[in-house]
This record gives sequence, C-alpha cells and structure tokens, in this order.
Amino acid sequence: MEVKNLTTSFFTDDGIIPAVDHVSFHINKGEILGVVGESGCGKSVTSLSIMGLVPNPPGKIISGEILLNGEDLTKLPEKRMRQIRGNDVAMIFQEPMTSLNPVYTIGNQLVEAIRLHQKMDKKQARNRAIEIMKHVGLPRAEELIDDYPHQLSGGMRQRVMIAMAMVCEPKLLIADEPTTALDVTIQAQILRLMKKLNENDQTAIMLITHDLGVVAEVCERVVVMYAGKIVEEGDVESIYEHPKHPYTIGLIKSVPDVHMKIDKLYSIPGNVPKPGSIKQGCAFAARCEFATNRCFTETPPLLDMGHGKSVRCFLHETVEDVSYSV
Amino acid sequence: MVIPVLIGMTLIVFFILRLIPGNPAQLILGQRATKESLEALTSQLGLDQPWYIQYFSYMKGLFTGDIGTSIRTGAPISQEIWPFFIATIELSVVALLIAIVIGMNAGVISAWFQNSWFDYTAMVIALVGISMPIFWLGLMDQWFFSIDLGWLPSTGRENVRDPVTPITNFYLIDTLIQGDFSQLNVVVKHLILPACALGTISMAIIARITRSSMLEVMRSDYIRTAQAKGMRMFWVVYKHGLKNALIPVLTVIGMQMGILLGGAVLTETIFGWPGIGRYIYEAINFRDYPVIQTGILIVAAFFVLINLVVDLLYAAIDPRIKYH
Ligand SMILES: Nc1ncnc2c1ncn2[C@@H]1O[C@H](COP(=O)(O)OP(=O)(O)OP(=O)(O)O)[C@@H](O)[C@H]1O
Ligand code: SF4
Ligand SMILES: [Mg+2]
Repeated sequence: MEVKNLTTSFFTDDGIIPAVDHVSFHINKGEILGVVGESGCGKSVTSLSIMGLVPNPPGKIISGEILLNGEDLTKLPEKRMRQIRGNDVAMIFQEPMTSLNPVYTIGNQLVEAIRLHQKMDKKQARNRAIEIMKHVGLPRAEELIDDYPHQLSGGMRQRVMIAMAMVCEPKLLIADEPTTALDVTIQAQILRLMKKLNENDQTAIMLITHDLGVVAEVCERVVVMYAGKIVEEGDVESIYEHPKHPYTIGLIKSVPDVHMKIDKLYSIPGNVPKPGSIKQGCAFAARCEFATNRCFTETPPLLDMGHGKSVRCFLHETVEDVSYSV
Repeated sequence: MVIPVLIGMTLIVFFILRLIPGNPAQLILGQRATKESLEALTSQLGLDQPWYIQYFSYMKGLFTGDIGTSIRTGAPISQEIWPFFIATIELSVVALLIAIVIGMNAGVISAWFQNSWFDYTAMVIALVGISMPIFWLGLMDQWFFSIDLGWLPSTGRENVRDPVTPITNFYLIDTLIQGDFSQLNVVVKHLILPACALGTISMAIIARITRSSMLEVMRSDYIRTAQAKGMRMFWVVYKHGLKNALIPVLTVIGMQMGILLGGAVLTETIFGWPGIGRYIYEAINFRDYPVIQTGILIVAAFFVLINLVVDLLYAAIDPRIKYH
C-alpha cells in the first residue's frame, strides 16, 4: 500500500485544520510499519483516511492518493470502499472496552464480520468464528462466543477485536494504539499476538503508537509524525541508533529506561502545536534546541537521505550523515 | 411494589370522590323524590355507612374478585366496563404504534443526517407537535379531514347503522377474524383521526428523544468498528445504533402510555369514542361511585402493567441490566 501526498483537513469554526499534511509513506507486503508521534499529530486521522472513515463533516481528504493494488482508495465509490473495509484492510482501535457493541454477543459481532464478506451460512460462520477465536488465543472459545463484551476483560476484548479484524485475512491491518489502554503484561501479549499473525498470515500491519518501546519490539520501519507532517522515516535500527530529527531524538530520550530514576525522566519541553497553527517555518522550531533563525521563517522540506531514510530538518541539508549520540 | 401502589390509588380515589358534592340517590331518583325513598335507596346502596365500612367492603370485594356493581344501572361493572376498556386500549395502542413507528424513524433519520433539511423539518414539526393541545389538534383534524374534505368519519368507532359484531371487542381483530374487509375498512377509517390526534404529542416526544439518544450513540467507538467491517450505513444505524439508543426511548414510551391514557379521555370526548373515558365521565355525572372507583383503578392497573413490561424489555435489550 502506498500513501502519496495525503492531506486531510477539518473544517472547524476555528478555521481549517490540516490534521494530515502532505503525508507520503508506503507499507510493503507482510511488513510491520510503526507510526509514532505525540497525541494530536494526526496518526488516527491518517488511518481513518485510509479506511475512508474520516468523520465528514467536518473532515475531508483534500488531496493525495491512497493506492492499494492499483486502486486509489480516495476516489472509490462508497460501495467499492465497503467491500475493501474489513476485507482487504481491517482496523482495530485503542479502546477495547468501548469498541465492541455492548448489546450483541461476541459471536454475533464476529459472525456479522465474516458474513459481510464471505458467503457462509450462520452455522459455518459460527464455526469459523470459533476457529479464529482460538487462533488469537482466546480460551474456551466455544463458551466465550455467546458472552457479551462486558463479561470479558480488556485484554480479551482486544483479542476479540483482533479476531474480528482477521476473519477475512486482510492484506493490511491498521492497529491504532491497540495496547495503550491495556496494562503492561497484557500489552506484551497482544503485541506478541500481532507479531505472530504478521509472521503466520503475512498480514502487513500499520502499528500506530506513541510508545517507541513498542515500535522497537515489533516494527521493521518507522514513520515519525509531528503536527500533521512526517518528520522522519527509516528502518527501526537506524532510527534508534542514529536518530536525525531533533524531535525523534527527544522522543527516544523520553523513553523511560529501567535503570533511570523517575526524576531524571526526560520530556521534550513545550507543548504539541495544533496542526496548521504554525504558518511559517519548522513546526518544531519553538521546542527545538538546534533551531536557527531560518527555522522560524522557512519550512524545511522532507530530505531524502538514501537507504529509505528521510528527515525534515535543515540540519541535514548539507552534511550527509550527521547523527547525534543520545 | 405493585399492590401497595394500587391500594394507595384506591384510597385517594375513594376520598376524592366523596369530596365531590352531590348525592347519588338524589341523582337517580330525580328532584321530586320523597325523603323516605331517598333514605331507602341511600341505605340500600350502603352510602349511610361510615366511610371506613364502605371502603372496607369495597376492598373486600376487590380482593375476592368482585369489582362492584353500578349504582345507576344495577349491573355488575365487570360486565359493563369491558367493551369500553377495550375500545380505549385499541385507540391508545394504535396511537402509540403510530407514534413509535413514525417518531422513532424520524428521530433515527434526523440523527443520521444531522443538520440536513430533513433533520430541521422533522424537529420543527416535533416542536410544534409537542406544544399542540390535543383537543385543538383533534378539532382541527376533524374539521379539515372529515368536515372540509369529507375523507374520514368524524365521530364514533363504527357505522352505527351496521355495527361490528364484537368477539374480543378489539374491532380491528374482530373484523379480521370475521374476514369482513369492508367492515375492517370502516373501522380503520374511524380509527385514523382520533389515533393520530392522540398520538401526535407522543410521536413528537419519541422523535426528539430518539434523535438525541442516537446522536450520542453514533459517536461511540463500536459504531466506527461496525463501519470498519464494511457494513452498510443503514445497518450500522439500525442494528448497532438503534438498539443501543433504545433504553431512554423505551422509558419515554412507558411514560407516554400513561399520558396517552389520559389524553384518550379527551380524544374520546371530541371524537365520540365509546371508551373508558366516556364511561367514567358518565359515571361522574351520576356520582356512580363504584364505577368511577373501579374504572380509575383499572386504568391505573393497566399503567402499572405497562411499566412492568417496560422494565422487562430493558433487560431484554441490554444484557448489562439484570433483574434479581
Ligand atoms: N472530529 C474532528 N474535528 C476537528 N478536528 C479534529 C477532529 N478529529 C481530529 N481533529 C484534529 O486532528 C488532529 C489530529 O488528530 P488525531 O486523532 O489524528 O491525533 P492522534 O495522532 O491520533 O492523537 P492520539 O495519540 O491522541 O490518538 C487533532 O489535533 C485535531 O485537531
Ligand atoms: S528545521 Fe530547525 S527547528 Fe526544525 S527540527 Fe530542524 S533544526 Fe529544529
Ligand atoms: Mg489517535
């Protein structure tokens, strides 16, 4: 899948907010791509744009292409888009507690997802649902299937969500902060499950998170977003070892380390600007320790650094390979 | 809970009735009755007894299944009241069904297409509907559709020259059982105006509450989940949205049933509907205490029953609600 120059804006009373601003990236077959950035940087809006589910009004895809198997999702009629949703591209959300419908059983919701895209009678679909529930590691699937969501724990519900997303063996799974609402041990289990599904079923995963630790564990490549724009892209190792954008450096520094005392916990100074609130210059300039005068007047372009790496910062314009020790 | 409520109800009605001036014996025998005959009738009716004896014997009757005898006609109330009661139920149920079907769909579509012209129009109509007095609406309907246009009959429940043969006293059901479609047509035509007049306010209230409840629900995460599955918006709205939005709507419908029964009395007067409202109204004119007491008690019992059903429906709709 390839996203080219995607811009999604919200038309609000306070003006037009470009929540996603000329964003381009791609996800290879069977790969796990991490998308990181602080709250409000446009991660969810990017994924909703891919699904064609941006709340409209006030949101709208202004420009760009989202290519999947040669089709541009931004141009498809709703009917074709419905065939793709849940079938070719599936999505799971941050809040497992509220993402399942409380008034229908797990089975009802799984069977519905299956029968939307596959010709199966109720009995076959139910068997398939039990099968997929076992596949995602849900215990006692035969009994659990008739339970209501409120009878399950958060971790189990997220497994149900994953099962529901995986029923049609999608080519791409978008996971929008799938572990944020879970406690740490459950987080690790869910991540392991996603990794396993990715390896076994060759499902590409777009893993959205603001936790760099999560990215390091499961992803191959990372896209770092800031205020609606991509500021750095590259493979996980090089971004961890040699982060180039000052924002990425800050993010890595603020990952808590077991050996670190709490009072030494680093956080990037300043607040996240709203996308589009900075009209001029680099969006990160106000918080950047390397900022020069130029950073406040000119907008840095995304520089291609070769080897699939790119970074949006003037510091890397001239020198080929500057990196900072963290 | 149900029994104490109903007993309290009988007490209140019992005392209010005795506060209304007027002597039943006098009303039955007329102005020129002699003192002796009046006294004889009063004691025959048991009205010379102290109030607690009267109340006690009334309650004793109720608990043994005897709901009393009409002072005016001397016939057991259980025989008389039934057709009137059913006539009211038929009118109220049809009115409520109209209110639910139209009101709920209007609310759902308004929420689905929030801020569309449909939404604006429906909500303006609903606002007007809520503030409209039933009797005024009833009179306007009557004037416009039956007197001016002549489409529908203005009063009654049936063609008096060719009455329906009652079986259950639900005329819709009776004519269907008898397979008499021309009679069914007559019955439906008689029902339309009073049912619409009676249902309008409930319809408006149901539309508004459904809309606001749906707007809330449509922001939920599980709605997005359903959309992400590739489901048609229609089903997302009606399967995943509506069932979740139903609890507050159901509460309102339960309350509306009581208001509807009250409104039925007004509607019956305007449209000459032979319902329990008219039955009680005539009883009041004759100070027919047993009929009034029992009539009101039956309406109250019915209201309590409706609320029980609503409570059971909550649990059926929402698995998180449990009854012990
Ligand atoms: N419904 C909306 N109406 C107006 N603006 C919106 C709406 N949804 C999102 N936005 C704007 O889009 C920006 C990006 O939001 P988005 O949800 O994509 O952030 P995010 O990166 O997913 O953050 P988080 O980590 O908190 O989930 C927000 O800052 C907000 O200004
Ligand atoms: S462009 Fe300037 S302000 Fe922006 S990140 Fe680079 S150095 Fe900092
Ligand atoms: Mg988000």
